[in-house]
Amino acid sequence: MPRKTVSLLSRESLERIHSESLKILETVGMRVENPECRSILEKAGAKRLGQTEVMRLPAPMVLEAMDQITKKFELVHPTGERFWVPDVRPRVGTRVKMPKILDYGAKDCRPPRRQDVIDLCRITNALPKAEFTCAIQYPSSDVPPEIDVADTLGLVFAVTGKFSMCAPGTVEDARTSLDMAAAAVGSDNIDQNPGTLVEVNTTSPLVLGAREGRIILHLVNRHIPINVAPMPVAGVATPLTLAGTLAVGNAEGLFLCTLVNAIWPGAKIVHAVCGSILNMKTANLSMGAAETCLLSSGELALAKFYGLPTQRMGGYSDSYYPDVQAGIEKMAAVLTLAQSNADLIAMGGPLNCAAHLSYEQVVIDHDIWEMAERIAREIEVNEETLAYDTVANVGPGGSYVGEPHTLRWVRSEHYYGGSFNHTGLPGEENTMLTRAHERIEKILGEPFRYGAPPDALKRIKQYVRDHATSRKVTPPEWTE
Amino acid sequence: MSEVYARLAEMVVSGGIEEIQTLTQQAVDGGTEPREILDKGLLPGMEVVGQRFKEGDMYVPEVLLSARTMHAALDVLRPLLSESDQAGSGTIIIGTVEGDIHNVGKNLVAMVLEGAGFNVVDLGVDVKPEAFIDAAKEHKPDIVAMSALLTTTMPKMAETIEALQEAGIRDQVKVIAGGAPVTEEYVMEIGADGHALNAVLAVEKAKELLQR
Repeated sequence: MPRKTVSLLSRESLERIHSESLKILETVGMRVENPECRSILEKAGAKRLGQTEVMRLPAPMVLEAMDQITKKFELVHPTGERFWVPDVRPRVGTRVKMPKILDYGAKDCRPPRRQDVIDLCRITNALPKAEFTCAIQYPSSDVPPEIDVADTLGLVFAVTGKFSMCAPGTVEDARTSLDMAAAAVGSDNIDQNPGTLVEVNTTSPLVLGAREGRIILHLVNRHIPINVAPMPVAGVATPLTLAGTLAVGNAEGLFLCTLVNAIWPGAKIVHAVCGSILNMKTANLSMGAAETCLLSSGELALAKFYGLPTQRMGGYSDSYYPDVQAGIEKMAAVLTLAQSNADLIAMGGPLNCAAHLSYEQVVIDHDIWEMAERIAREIEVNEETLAYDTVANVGPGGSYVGEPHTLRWVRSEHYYGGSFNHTGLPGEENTMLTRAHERIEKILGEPFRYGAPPDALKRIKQYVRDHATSRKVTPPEWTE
Repeated sequence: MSEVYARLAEMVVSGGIEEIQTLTQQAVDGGTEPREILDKGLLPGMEVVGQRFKEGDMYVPEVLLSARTMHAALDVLRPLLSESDQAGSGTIIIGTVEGDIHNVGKNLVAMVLEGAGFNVVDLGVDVKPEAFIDAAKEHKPDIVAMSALLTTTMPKMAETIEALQEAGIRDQVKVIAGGAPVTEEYVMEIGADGHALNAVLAVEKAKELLQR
């Protein structure tokens, strides 16, 4: 059944926000701190405000760029398997690295270790709906920083055998990420064989930093698909009202699309604008807020307005622990994503506004996705599902349990999966958290194996070794 | 007299930015010592604001309005205060570290610290360690406050502390650090003196470090 999209914004509202975003770019502009980016924009038709760093983009320039952008393209797994973005169905990924890890039963977090990347990749492989990973780099506590990016991404590709997104924080990390992805898929022709998707950000409101500009230049010149991911925060970096936040975030997204397309005409772009709010009671970022769900829905609707494929970091919660609050916030967020038809959804475990991750939450988030996806799939109405023949056959007072129709549909019509406690039994051992933990113990108790095929694994290991040698660092041991 | 102080405090709490300068001037003209207006009228008002914020009764924009109201009153008092009194609760230099241009959190902290009576020198963003040192030598702060939003720029906090050490002024200042990825453990590891999770806690930490 074709995916239906629920949008909380009317066509009229979308057009209004779109117009406002163009007006913002044309009259307020973006501060572009990188001189080369400014020069590229000027050549493409932008106007510099005096001698400032502010660039104003005329609407026709932006609209032309949006017309030229490539909006459907393939991505590649290290196995060689390819998939389209967008596709007929959404794809879900997991996070495999976060600033901190919250262990089962622990009160406080600890720094991430190399083994966490390996374990989270193994968990990813065991989750039926997890098809890619998101390896945003945070320092491992036990890996030399000189090779952390290469080793992390290498492990991710090697253990999962799956495509991975990344978000390098420096030009050097960007270079390493792309080289590693090329090694994983076995091709230097990134344009035709993109093994990764790289996130680029602005700094709201309306700033492209010098460092971010350098990273964009490096990435785009190598023709890698780009995740355009401004992260406006309502009330502090954008207007407190959600419409204003959508307009500014969309303006920054359009700006990035225009810049990227100016560097690489026909660039492959994924829309990943990701707004949230500042909780004005606590002065903390609130990614688990109801408004974050609304912004998510609005941003996805805008992406579809432009015909762009979408990627979202999904299932955020403000909660520190994998608890009731986390469940509520995550389901609200994930259901929004499922019903808004996001194409790539990176979920998997984040808590406390993505300050840390819990293994159990990775598993629970997957369960939340499965349930949300079922809800988003809605009710299919046709002759087979109305089941008149079966109704007539069973008749008044009969039972449907053993009917052929029931057998045909039992595994697809209802969702029974995950760690949910549907038994009605009490006890700590039956809670969702405990059951998720037991699943993890079982997954990690299985024999270890790499997910990448042998030739890809060999290339990945070689790259990590060469990378370490060039930096005069001993590479970590890799399991044979 | 206590009625005047109570009115000043109430005006700070309610954000009466239009009226407070008139009320402050009236208090001065009535013979009240400027230092007493600050200590018994204005600062208690900000203490109430801080407490209400902690309890969830006041929201950040309201806290900022109170801080701006406090400032409006200080504009009247400043020429009348002695140099040491002008430092108020203390002097703080604050900046986002080198390589990082995020400023919203840092700006919030700066505003709330000012509202709490600190003299705040904001160095802006992308502040090199040397710039922190130069500012410390110029302004002789009680506290050096650093912000970072990126894990890649956090190491600059340690570099800045080392630079303070090399410049021979580390023991003349307290150092606090904050920002989304910055933890209490990290801050202690790099040899800073304190960390705060949000702007209001930053004020508490600053007061605790200076024992004010």
